[in-house]
Amino acid sequence: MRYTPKLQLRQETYLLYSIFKSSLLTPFFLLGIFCSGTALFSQKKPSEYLKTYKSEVIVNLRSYSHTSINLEKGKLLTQRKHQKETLFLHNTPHQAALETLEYTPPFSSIENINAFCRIPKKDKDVYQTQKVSRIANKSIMSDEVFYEGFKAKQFEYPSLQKGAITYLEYTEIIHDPKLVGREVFTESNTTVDREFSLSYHKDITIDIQYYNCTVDDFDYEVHSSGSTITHRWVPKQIEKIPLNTNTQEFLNTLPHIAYRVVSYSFKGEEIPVLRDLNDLYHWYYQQNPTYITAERSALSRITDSLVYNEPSEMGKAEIIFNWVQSNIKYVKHENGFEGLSPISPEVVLSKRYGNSQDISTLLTAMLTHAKLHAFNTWIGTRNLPYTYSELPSPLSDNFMITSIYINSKYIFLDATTTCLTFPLPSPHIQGKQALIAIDSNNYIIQTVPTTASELSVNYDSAYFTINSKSLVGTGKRFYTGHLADSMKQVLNTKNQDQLNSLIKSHITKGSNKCQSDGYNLTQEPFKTSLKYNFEIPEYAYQTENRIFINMNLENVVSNLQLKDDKPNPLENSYNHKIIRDFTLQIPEGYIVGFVPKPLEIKHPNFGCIARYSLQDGTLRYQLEIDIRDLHVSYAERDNWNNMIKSLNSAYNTSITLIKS
Amino acid sequence: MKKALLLIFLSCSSLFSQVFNPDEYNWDHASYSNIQVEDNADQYEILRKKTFYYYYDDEGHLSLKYLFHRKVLVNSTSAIEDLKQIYMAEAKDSLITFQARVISPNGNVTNISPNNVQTGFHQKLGMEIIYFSFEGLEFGSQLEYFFLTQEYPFITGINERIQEQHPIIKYELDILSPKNLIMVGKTYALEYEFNSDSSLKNQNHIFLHLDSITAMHEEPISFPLAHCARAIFKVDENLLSQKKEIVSYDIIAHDIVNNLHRELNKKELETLQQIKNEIISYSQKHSGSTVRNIENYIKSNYHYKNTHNNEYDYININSIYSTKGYNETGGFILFSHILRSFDIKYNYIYTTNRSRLTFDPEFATHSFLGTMLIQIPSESDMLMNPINPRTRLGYVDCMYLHNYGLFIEEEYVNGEVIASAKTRFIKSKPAAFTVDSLNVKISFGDNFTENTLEVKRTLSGYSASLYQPYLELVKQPSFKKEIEESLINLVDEEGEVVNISIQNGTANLIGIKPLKVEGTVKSDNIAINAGGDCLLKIGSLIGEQSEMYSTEDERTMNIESPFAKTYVRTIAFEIPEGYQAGGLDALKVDEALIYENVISGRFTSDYTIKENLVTIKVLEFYDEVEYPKDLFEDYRRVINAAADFNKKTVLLKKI
Repeated sequence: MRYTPKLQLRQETYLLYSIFKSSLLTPFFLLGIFCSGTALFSQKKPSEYLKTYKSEVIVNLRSYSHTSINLEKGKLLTQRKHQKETLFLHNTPHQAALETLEYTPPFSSIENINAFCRIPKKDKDVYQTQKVSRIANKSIMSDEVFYEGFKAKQFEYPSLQKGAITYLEYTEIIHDPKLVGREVFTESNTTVDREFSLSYHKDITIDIQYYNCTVDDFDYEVHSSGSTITHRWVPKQIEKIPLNTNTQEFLNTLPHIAYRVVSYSFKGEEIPVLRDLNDLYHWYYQQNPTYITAERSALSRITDSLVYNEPSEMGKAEIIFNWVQSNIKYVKHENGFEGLSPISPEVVLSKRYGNSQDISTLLTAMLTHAKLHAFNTWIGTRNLPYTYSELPSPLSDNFMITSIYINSKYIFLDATTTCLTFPLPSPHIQGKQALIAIDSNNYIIQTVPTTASELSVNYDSAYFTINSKSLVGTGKRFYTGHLADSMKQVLNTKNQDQLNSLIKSHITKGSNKCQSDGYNLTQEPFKTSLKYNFEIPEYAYQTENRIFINMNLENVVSNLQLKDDKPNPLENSYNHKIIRDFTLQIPEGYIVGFVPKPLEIKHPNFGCIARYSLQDGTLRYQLEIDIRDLHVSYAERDNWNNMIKSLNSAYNTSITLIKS
Repeated sequence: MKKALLLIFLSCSSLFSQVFNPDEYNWDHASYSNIQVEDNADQYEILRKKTFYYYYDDEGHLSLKYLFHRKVLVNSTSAIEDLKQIYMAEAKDSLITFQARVISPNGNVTNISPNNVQTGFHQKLGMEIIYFSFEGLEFGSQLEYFFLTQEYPFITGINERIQEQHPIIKYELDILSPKNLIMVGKTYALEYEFNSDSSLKNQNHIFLHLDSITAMHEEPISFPLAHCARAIFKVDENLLSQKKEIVSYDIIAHDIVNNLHRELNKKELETLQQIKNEIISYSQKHSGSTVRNIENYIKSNYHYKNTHNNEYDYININSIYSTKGYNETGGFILFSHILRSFDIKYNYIYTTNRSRLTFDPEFATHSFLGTMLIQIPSESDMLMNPINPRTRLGYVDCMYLHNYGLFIEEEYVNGEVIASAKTRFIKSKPAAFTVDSLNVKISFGDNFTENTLEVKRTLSGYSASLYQPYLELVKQPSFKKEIEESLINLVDEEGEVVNISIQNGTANLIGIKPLKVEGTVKSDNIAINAGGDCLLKIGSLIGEQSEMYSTEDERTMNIESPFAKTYVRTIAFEIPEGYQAGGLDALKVDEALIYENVISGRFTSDYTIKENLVTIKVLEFYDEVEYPKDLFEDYRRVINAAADFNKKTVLLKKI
């Protein structure tokens, strides 16, 4: 899904390229980037807009963003200018009136907001301009994120109505050039004019990478003017995404460009910024002071009390991991530099909560205190499509874990995930590169392993008889690996009614009339088991001399057909297996009349088997679905859909018992 | 409603033996003996919840200080998540005092720094709030905090919800007021009423001190929030001015009418005329009554803005006209003046959302004046909600019906407008108002795969209201397709919608024309292959049904649903050549709910067979929105009859 033709435009490349570009382009570039908003208004009348876009609700007439990286007195100054012109074509566009521009001090700030709207004048086919009068400074908070430190400039466009056009221009100052940059080329609305440009001083070297797109997907130009190099991308096609989609969550599939400042030269000397992973690592390491744990500190006391009786390294690691996981609450926590630099582990211990960096730093400190080889580790979660080798930039990661080196291998510990069993890697980092901080000069890149499907099994076996039209029997269901962890999280309630109801939802099979008057729940580190009895009233279809029973008491994954219009692949939390093993006691006086054909589908990444067998007066039905990859890609969609279709066909098949 | 188990705490705290100053409140005031909690306690237990309203005379002005004190036992890790951020007040209220601490399981006390108090704009709530976060929380610890704020002195009705999702071990509500202001309160779903303490020299004191309040109880098809334990209090008398019944609905009616009918200045009158002209012009192009055209025009061209009711831009006719927006007050001002300019008589109705709070006609307070509606006598007394763009005349949010309301009528006497107020019951809409009619014709494919389902569905009333206001707004193809297909793919959620057409999918037709949908669904999932025979899942075509199979403990709440409704289903298929149909008689079902000697709810299904054509007809209806709890078993039988029908199959046996 991703194409990464590396386009590293160093100064020499640029100079060669610029020879072939007409100097006449210069005014055009300057116009596109630096023009004042009012001067660039599309000059159509309200009636013309209404006619042109009569089938639309909102149209982005213009969506420009421009990043400039300048060199002043040996320092890099980075800013992003945004310019947006939006046409509203429904009668009550009030919901769009409130504009919130978020920023995160001290990393970024917002300046030079110019916002107004043009309202169709009553009875005249012209526009009149109304300025936004008040811009408020807000601290943003939510239930989901803790002490965010997000700030926002907030204002309302006045008098929005059908045919109105809002205009917004502002500048975002990025206070550290290492934090640029990414441009995603998707929009929720029809977009007429979309452009991204990047300009920088010729003494600066920039690296540009394409994700889910290639340079051929753009009208792309590069040009120089004086000491400034400018790239300009105009997408040939713009993919529409649902309104209010958080693009950060879908970077694996959305077309975008990632760029970074590699280095710059000043007074003949090359000043490195993010040339490679070494630069990134050393910058990260500076942000993360080494915390020395005093012998009599709370951290050392707690750690010692936890492991004093445990001789093995694995045992110590497990005890400490479990303690941190249980006692330190993970909260998404973005408060200024805490997002890039963790606080002291002693403080985390006292606060009893923290973000991933806080928790990993505490865990690393405790493991280190217990004389284990533990290291802070940066990692990007699975919703980021980058690797450190391709993109050595802070864009490549968004999370921290702890790695320990035991028995000649690294184990990746994420104590933020509730109910994760030691030493499994958490699902959201599996398959990702981890940047392990060994010391101030040394680091290691390791890929977090993906767990095998055999590890996480959802298994249900049942033995049942026919009583009148009901199926009556007993069953055993268990979940292992990550599935067991998920179950532990689900069943983590002290409310018995709630627990009964949750367990019932896992026992229910055949129909929602299924009843159970008893279960036995067992929870072990890698396994959650349920033994139960059940009755499914009115399940069998019975005639004078035949009984029909659909042995598929659960239609697992039946609704996972991937639609044509949904290009996003199916994302599995982890590899897993689903196994069903149901045995029917054939009633006395009956023989088996019809048994469906077996089904077997094999694919490198997934597969299924469904088969029936007759044994000692019983009919056994076994179903196994094996999902061996974390996602089903677009290319595999047809094969996947064929499997689901075949399974659904199998689910709609019944056995027949005939009176002998 | 199951009453909370209560033990009243009759003695009055020594706190009130002298004039109480909330500014001096501290942990010492809050001290009390430790409460033992059993190991199997809930996720978290509210050990103490104290709410204190302190009304006082501040140099001739009535002022209010609000004190809230809470102590909670954290009895699970998920409780830590719930309690990580505590919202205290809106930023407009000034925070005077804040103290918080965590008591660890081993008794260590950690005080929370006042620096933890922050102000932020809460995106979901849409307002600035003051909040803080706890540090050092761990399983088994107790968190405790209190804060004091200066607030606007509302005295016309404060609604205090007592019962919560978690049990409360000790609850205290105290209201202190200057000696001349007599406060009265009423409790709901509680066995106990307010007590008063007359020992204070310069203050009146009413209070409710309770022990052991159970967690809120939930039952299906009910509105637990509306029936949870609560207290409402208000000022009743001012001894200085010798005014009694200060909160009177007559006075409220008078104030409302005067406020909404204030005389407009010349410029406003001109603007009003302009809007009127636009409506006249709109009416010339659209059919329907004047009232409907007024509502359609305004709701199509102006928007409701959820802002403070005094915000000038949204209550002044000129500003409304230029900004195309109005808030609640502005909406009623606009509609009132426009209706009056067309000589259309109207009344106002104030009521509550009955899923949250039932209007009590016996206790006049502002707490029951939650939402205002407009009633149009010339349109058969139909109701209109000016501020909800998704409703139209004759169709307002069903939660405002089947509830008492304050009816405000105005009369002109000698050119003066006189308002009168009466509380009356607002009737809900009958089941015939909300009809969901589904017609499915099955054509079988080879081997009963790729079957074709011709679907016709007609929705009216509240069933249509889930779609009509939105269909015209959604333009994004994939989302639009999803919404449209959801109208017919109830017959087979995994089926493929081959074609679909929709009529009357617009907000302006709500309550006037039903939403009509026709389409074709290709389905592989309605037939089970059984070795040449076929089990036709005929019941699945009516879509998934609510079920109440689980036998419950004794029903304690009445059965309450949002609206009365009717479902009509017709399914037809031809028996394929070479097959015969079996099991049709099992489709004959009849379950009824008798209420007040008539059939008030029913599920009935039957079939006919003519030549090879089998036609199955299903009727299900519930005439009332509320049934007594004693009828729960009968109600359940009808609901489950529909859920059972959903599982019915017909055998097509190869001859």
